[in-house]
Formats: sequence, C-alpha cells, structure tokens
Amino acid sequence: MARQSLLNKLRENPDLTRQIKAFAQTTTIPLRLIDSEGKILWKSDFFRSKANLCSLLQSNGFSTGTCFRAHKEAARESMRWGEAIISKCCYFMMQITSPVMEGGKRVAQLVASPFLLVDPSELQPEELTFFSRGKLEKREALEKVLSSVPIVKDEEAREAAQELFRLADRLSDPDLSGLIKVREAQALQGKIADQICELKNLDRDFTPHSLSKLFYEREREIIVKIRLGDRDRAKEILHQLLAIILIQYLEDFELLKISILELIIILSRAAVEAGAKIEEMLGMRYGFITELSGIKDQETLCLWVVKVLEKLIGGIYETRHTKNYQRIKKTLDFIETHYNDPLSVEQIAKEVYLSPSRLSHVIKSELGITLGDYISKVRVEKAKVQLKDRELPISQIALGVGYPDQSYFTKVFKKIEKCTPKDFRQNVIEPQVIQ
Amino acid sequence: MIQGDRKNYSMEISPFSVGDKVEKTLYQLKQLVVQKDCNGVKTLTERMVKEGMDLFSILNRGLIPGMLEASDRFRKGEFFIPELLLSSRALKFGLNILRPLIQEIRKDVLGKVVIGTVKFDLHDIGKNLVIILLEGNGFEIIDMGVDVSPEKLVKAVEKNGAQILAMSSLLTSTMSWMKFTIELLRASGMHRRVKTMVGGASVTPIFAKNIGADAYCREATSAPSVAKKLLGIEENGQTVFAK
Repeated sequence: MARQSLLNKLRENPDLTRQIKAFAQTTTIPLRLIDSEGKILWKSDFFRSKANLCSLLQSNGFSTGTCFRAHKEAARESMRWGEAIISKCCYFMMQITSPVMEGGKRVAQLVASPFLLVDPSELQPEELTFFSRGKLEKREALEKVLSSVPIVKDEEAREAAQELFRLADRLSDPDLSGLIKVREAQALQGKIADQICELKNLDRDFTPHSLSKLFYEREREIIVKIRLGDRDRAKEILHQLLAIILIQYLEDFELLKISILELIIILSRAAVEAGAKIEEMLGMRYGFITELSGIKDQETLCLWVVKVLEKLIGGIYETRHTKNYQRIKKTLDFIETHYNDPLSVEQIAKEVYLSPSRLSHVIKSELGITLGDYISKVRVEKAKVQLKDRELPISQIALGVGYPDQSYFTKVFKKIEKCTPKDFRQNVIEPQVIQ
Repeated sequence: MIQGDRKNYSMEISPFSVGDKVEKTLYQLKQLVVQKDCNGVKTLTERMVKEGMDLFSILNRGLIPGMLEASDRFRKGEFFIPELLLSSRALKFGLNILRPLIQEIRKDVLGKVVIGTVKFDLHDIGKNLVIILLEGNGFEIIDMGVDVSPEKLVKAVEKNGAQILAMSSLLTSTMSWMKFTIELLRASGMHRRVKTMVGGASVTPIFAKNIGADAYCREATSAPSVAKKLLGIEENGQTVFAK
C-alpha cells in the first residue's frame, strides 16, 4: 500500500525525482529509498554497477538482513531526534538516514550510504574487519571497490544530512512537521540543560534564597529585553529562567505550572509597558491560562512558554514604531561595548544619528529611565561581576567600568545597589563562596 | 550524604605551563583529539608510552580532556555529529594503545558497574566518557546503552552482581526516570548492597539527594574517585568510607 503510494508520488512528481537525483549528484553520496519491508524503491547509479561495495560484500557472504536492520534502527533513532541521523553502518562505512512518514507512521527511509569521512588508506585494521572475514581472492576486488566509496568532508556530511531531511519531508505525507516538533523540543531541553550546567559551573549552592535572587535578577533583565523587543536575548534569558524554575520544581508538576503562570503574567505586563495594547494582552492572558491548564507534561510546557514569549513580543512589534526601535537597540548595543569609555549623550546621539535631546526623550519614553541612569546601571552590573575577583582593587574596577574617580563610583554604586562596593563584596559575594 | 559534590582537582585538566615538557606533550595530545587527527593521536600516544610516561596521565590529562573539549564544542553547536564521531575515533586510536598496557598493571577488578542513560534519553557522550574513565581505573563495566528502562537496569545489576549502578540523564524531562530506577532497586531489596551514582548536565546535587542516590557526579572526570569512595576503596593513601 504505502510502497505503491510512494512510487506513484515519485512518478507523478518528476520534480521530486529530480531533487533526489540532484542530492546524489551534488553530495556524491549514493542514495536509496527503502520501504519498511526492505524493498528498494529508488536507487542512485552507484548501486546499478554490479561491482559496488555493498553488492560485493553481499556476494561475499554477508546478508542483506544485517544492513536492513541497521537502516531500520537508524531510521527509528532519527525519529526520536527529529532529524536525519549520521551513523556508522555495519561495515564501518558512514550512513545518513531519514524516515519517510505517511499519516504519522514510518513507511520508508532514505538512506545515503556508503561514504567515508576519511581517506580509505587511513582506516585501521579493526575498522576493516569485513576484509579479513571475506574470502581471500575477493580481497583485491574489495580494496579496489573501497576506493570508489566517496570521501565526504565532515561539514559537507552535515549539510547532506539537512538536505536529506528536507527530501524526506517532501516525500512524506503530509510532511515531517511532527518530527520537526520533536527536534524543537529536544533542542529546547538541550538549551535548558546547558543553562543548568552553567549555573552549576558558577558554583551556585542552589539554596532557595540564592535561586530566587538569581531569578529576580534575570526577570529584570528579560523585562528590559522585552521592552526593546530583543527577541534573541529575551529567549536566551527565558531559557535561564526555565532552568532556575526546573531546578526547584522539577518533581512537582503543579508547582512548576504555577511558577510558569507567574512568569507569564510578569512577561505580559512588560509587554504592555512596552506598548502592546492592554485589551489584547488581557485577552491573550486569558487564552494562556486556558491553554496552560491543558498541558500535561514538562516538555510541552517549556515549548509553550517560548511560544508565549514570541507572541508577547510580536504584540509589541505590531503597535510600535519600528524606527525608534532600531535606534534604541543601537544605543544600548553601543553602551554595552563602550561602557568603559567616558560616555556623553552627545557622543551616543551622534552614533545613532539623533539629536541629543531627541535621544534622551526616546530613551526615557521607551525604557522608563534616563540615559544616564541606564549607563550607570550597565556599569554597576559590570562592576558586580568584577567584584567577585577579590584580588582586584576597587579603584581598578572603577576605572575599568568607566569611572576614573573611585568615590564617584562608590556613590553611584550605592545609589543602585543600596550598599558600597566593599560591602557588596563582603556581604553578598563572600558568603556564597564559603557556603 | 552526597559525595563527589566538590570538584576533584586531581583529575582536572592542568593548565599548560611553558617549559614543562610533559605538560606540553599532554596538551598537544589533547589538541590532536580535538582536531580529529587519528594518526597524530596514535603516533604521539605511542611515543609517550615509549618514553615511559604515566599511562593514567596520558589517559586522564591528554586523551579525555580532548574528548571533553570536543563534546563541549558539540554542545555549543560548533561541532556536529560527524566532527564528534571523528574526535571519538581519534580517542579510540589512543585508547587501543593504552588499554592492554593498563590491563596489565591492573589485573584486579575494583568493582562491577552497570551503567546506562535513562529511559527516553539518547545522549551518551558523557556516559561513554565515564565508561572509559572507570575502565581505565580498574572497574568492570556493563554498558546498557541509551534509553534504558528501570527494569532493564535493575535486572542487569542483579544478573551481573554489580556493586554500583551508574545512571546518566542530560535532560530535565528524563531525569525522573533515575528516581523510578532507584525506587525499583529499593523495591527489589538490592539497595543495601548496590550503590547508585547519578550525573548529567541537568542533574543537580539537590536532585540527587532528593531521589535518594548514594552519590552525585559533578562531571565525567570525577566518576572514578566517586566510584572508589562509594566502595570504600583507598585513594591517595587515604581510606574513604561510603555511607
């Protein structure tokens, strides 16, 4: 059934057949379309020559069953990762596999193999065991045929894998969007794992106190990024926030949901402040709560939060004047890279092609704080990081973040952090280290 | 008590200091693994062995850090599967030289370890490094692979008479399976003689404690000393008893 419909699809879409052929030609990797029973539906020219590696091995007493099982296993793994899989076939050759689906079921797989990542002369004896297992008189023929196996550079193999997945997507009915979702979920979980790993590297002791403090810091950061509509950075911080929440509530799904809900309310409030229409946001928020109650597992929950963030930022984009937006982003990027220079409003205004008074106005209305206050905040944040190094004199830190006068630095620091840099080092940083 | 929480400095990658020939060669070996240079790794490992360099130094401070760096690059998206496969191939070239020599020194098996990545988790880079390190340190390993159910893990422990069950999980979404496995081990009554150790990117000391694991591994390189502590085996002239 499935075989027939696939064959029909190939027959009716000459374009598709052309694309498959083009894959084999441009990547030089031999390609086969194999159905779930092991029948080859399409093969590239490599397999038409009788003396190709695979048929030689098979005529040498190796069963096709082993190959087929390896293909099936790779296709199964590919489904779990949601992308084409690069792996070794049973004869130490490389293969790329992607499943072809129909109505949510795997009906066939595209297998691009054999190819090598290194020159055959570099292969070690243990990688060529099939040579010694075969009959001796065929050895020469095998060696010759091995030289016909294409050698593909690692980065080309990566591109080939992406292309193979796209081909499988076109062959599938309706497509591989289900797998793409799997990949997204895997990728997001991977990013959250990275964030947890980073938190662990910071030697955080993970007390409820230190975690909630960290959460609060990140929350403030994400609000600024949402206001700016800085999607990428906001997403990155969201991964950190999710990591902190997951460390705390991994074992209690209901608590996990509640803290996610809290987070969403804060995010949507930031969106309103940034200019999204309040009525729309309220409607959206209602929608979010209903959606949230229907979510039953952690993976879906995390994916959903990322989507929510995108919707919220999208809401701001629609109502906001994008011209200002680019300017603000440019301004903040400039401050981020030049915080250690003596900065003046005039200088920054020149950088972003605005008059100083216009720039001040735009920043105040969009960020809610003055440009001067923002610069101080950035400098203090940078100083806080440097204060962790106890060997570094405070005067040097002050100079390093753009304050030649240490007493002025202390004054600014105190205004923002409500304590002096020295106290901050002693009371906030050191206890963490000792614990 | 959760062990292995603190960084194990003896296993740390030592920063290479100029002028120190040994350090320089080890650093070179590490770089060769990262650069996926199989023949280079082979030649240099052979040379180091010939020069009488400590086998465990070659393993722990040359080859393994190289693989760690490669997997780190993979995590950051700088390396992809083909690059990673080539790096681990380079690592294997070095290991093939070291393995028989190390086995000669360590004829006695310190203990049997059943290891696996828990159900629904397919990540095995960290786990495979732990296996190499544990094997190099004299443990016998029963590798159950990836996506292993609690039943399979507990059965393997029973069948092989292992003293340690080591579990890895990279994702927060699969970590609960460690808990289920430990619960099953308890239910089977084996938890008194079998110690459990857990690790992986998302696993935190708190989580390890909450699920009742006997030890938590902060990073792959600390696995051997954690395992030794669990079995009360002497290390660095000191006997450390597990709980």
